[in-house]
Amino acid sequence: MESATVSVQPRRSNASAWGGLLKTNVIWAVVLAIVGYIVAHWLGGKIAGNIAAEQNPGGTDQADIAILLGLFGSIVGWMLGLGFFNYPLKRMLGRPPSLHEGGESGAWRYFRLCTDHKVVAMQYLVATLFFFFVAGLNAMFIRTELTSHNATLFPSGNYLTLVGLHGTMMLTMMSAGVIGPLGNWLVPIMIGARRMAFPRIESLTMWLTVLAGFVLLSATLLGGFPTGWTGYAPLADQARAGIDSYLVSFLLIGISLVLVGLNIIVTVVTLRAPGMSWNRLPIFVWGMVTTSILAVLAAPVLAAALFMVMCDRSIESTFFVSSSGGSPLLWDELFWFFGHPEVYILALPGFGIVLEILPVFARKPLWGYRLAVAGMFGVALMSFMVWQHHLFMSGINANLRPFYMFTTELISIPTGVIFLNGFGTLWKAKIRFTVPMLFCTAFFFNFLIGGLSGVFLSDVTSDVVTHGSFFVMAHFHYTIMGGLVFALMGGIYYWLPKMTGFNLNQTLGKIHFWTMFVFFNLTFFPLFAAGMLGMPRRVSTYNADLHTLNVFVSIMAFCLGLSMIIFIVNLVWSMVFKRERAAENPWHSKSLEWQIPTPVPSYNFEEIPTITGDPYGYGLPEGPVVDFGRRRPAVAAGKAGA
Amino acid sequence: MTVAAEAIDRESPETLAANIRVGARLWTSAAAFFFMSFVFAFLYLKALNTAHSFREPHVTPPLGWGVAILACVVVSTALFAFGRTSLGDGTASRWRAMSLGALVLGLAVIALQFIEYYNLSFGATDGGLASVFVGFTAAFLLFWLAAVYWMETIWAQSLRGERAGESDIKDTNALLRPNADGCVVYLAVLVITEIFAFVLLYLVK
Repeated sequence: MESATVSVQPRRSNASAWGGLLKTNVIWAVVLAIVGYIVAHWLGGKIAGNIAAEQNPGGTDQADIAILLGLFGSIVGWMLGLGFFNYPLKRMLGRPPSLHEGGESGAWRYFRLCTDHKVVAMQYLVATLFFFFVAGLNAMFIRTELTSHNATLFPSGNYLTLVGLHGTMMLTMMSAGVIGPLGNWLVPIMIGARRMAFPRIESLTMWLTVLAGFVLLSATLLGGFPTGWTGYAPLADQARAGIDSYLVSFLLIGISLVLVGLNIIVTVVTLRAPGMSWNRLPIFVWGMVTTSILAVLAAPVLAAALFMVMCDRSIESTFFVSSSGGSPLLWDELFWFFGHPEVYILALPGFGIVLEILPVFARKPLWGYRLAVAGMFGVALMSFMVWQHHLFMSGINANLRPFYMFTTELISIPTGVIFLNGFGTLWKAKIRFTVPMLFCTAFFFNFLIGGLSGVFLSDVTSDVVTHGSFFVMAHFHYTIMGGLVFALMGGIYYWLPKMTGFNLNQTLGKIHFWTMFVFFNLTFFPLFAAGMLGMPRRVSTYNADLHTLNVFVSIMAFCLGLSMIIFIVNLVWSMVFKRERAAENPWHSKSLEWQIPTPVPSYNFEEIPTITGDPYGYGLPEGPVVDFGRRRPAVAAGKAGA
Repeated sequence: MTVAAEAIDRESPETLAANIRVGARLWTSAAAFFFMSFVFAFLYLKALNTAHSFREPHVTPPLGWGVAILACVVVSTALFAFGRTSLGDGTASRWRAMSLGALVLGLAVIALQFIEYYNLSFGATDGGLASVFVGFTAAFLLFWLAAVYWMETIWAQSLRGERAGESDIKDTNALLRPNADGCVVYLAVLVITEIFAFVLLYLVK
């Protein structure tokens, strides 16, 4: 066994464009998903009809059984169309394992199951940005409605659906927003690997995420859902069929999160290059690892809770029906056991990005590397101990409140450590304020406001006043949009030239940054005041006294939306029209991904490199950070500069 | 840069085996957290006993079927675990017999669960315990199905043997043992889960 080796040969596809059309791809996936829905819905109708007739006359909600089965049928069709069943069926027949699918070159690879981690990452980037903008459009509709203190544009039910779609899509897609595109693209390269540990699973997570987005959108065709992103019982039990789309969509995201997290952890544990000790692991990779731990452990609880709601809605179990031995609070417990780590699934990648980028533009080593890693693990661990602060107003045992108040306030310590690392790195540095750096510095400003306002919500007495108000809404937008989305934008401006081989326009980037930063703060900061003045979330009507404030916020929100248009213009202009070739190491970074050619070769490294130095050794005596062996790429480590 | 084919990937089977080993343990961790939700639901709803409806008088899960299912799960896992020790050491007949037995019993678990559903004296609507019973057992069935699939792929590959040029991985048989080891870890967690389920759903009053 010791002498045996594994040899992976790249499979060249000879398929023409038309040939690619005939193979498994996204077109077939859409067709078969529709067919799967129709067939399974019909079957579900038959099953439900039989149950109703034979066992429980008039009691079974036939539509839910049919719709849920239909949605699961569409998942099967989707995966069938993309070719995800081919390999498992071959394995059932005793065929040996393999690492690659056929046809991994040419444009079609972007529209099908592909095992190249860089292709999957680009698929992820396009998909998550698409759904990010769809959810952003919902936000524009919400703000349009709130320009009037009475419901004018949308009936209250539709408004709730809009809020739910916006929240669920943003939360789910942004969960995948960093770990999907940047995690999948960067982690293997940063650790000196050629691929992810489980390439098919990597692709599966991407395509499940895409399907989840469309399934969620299908809620609008099924009457919408009134629960917001939190899916609270008993409303979820009682809601119209649109909630079935929410349940299935969230379940798909949960499965996807578990698998993507598992894949990243395994990749980092087993595929690190020689010399890539745990002490040399880039801080971004640590961010991905801690995020992945949360995903693997928290998302299954969500999946179980969703499964219980599905049981309640289809076979009429009573998990959340208090009149029949259940309890709606059970949902709160299970959902927030996932939901609060979910907040850190969103935050930790942001920490990883900014701490990775700061040393590059500060030209200083990352201050307190081990402390930063400890801080990330501290956040990850403690995020499992705070969930009950979401239930302060839900009638939990009063004796439990001080404990959860304490743990929630305690989590600010490891979070503060991340700030300490950031400011320690920036201290007395000659900072280059490039576009990525601007986004990173804004991250700290925004996240600080988000964190400080969070203290009010962790405190029981002030939470009583602010709970369910726009104060909460402003708080989590400061942490998630002000934190994660700003960090993600910084990451995109920083790494996209390496990922695509083309530069983004820096002038447009700076206009994008300043408009986004200014209008983000002008949109969300006044909402703290709206919340303190008693404006409730998820309600389209409010006190007339708050009208002027809301009109101002809406106008600022539209301007924030326009700043995103600038980003899209920059993307399209730079990637499609101008196509200016990116330098191989434009930021003079010492990190491994910048030491290889642009565009990155199919298998990343001809030989697995040996890591010989610290990726953050800026300003220190220069030495190579990596040894590429016999086949040294064009950009040598020594050129990274200090 | 063109990558020379002969230079691509010279990973050892140990690396792929490590992938399976770590991946299997993470997957079982995820599965454990999934089932802990049902354990929590049981304890939470039992403690609350809202409307005194956690356990309706007629809700008595059939002990006989429960014992049969538990026994099949345990014996199936044991057979597979013991069988895999002779995987690759030249005693192929022992592996084949034991893994086939594990598979048959694995399928029997699924059949028995459906028979139990058919013979239940209550429905999911009949209170908290009934809901947890149906939800827990149905979820277990899905995870068990995945276990049976996993066992089957290892069994089928071991029967078929390695054929030249069939895979882009050389010496795929070297991966059979670690794959079976990973499967056993997963099965062991399912056994623990099933024991928990048996105690909570059938024995706790």
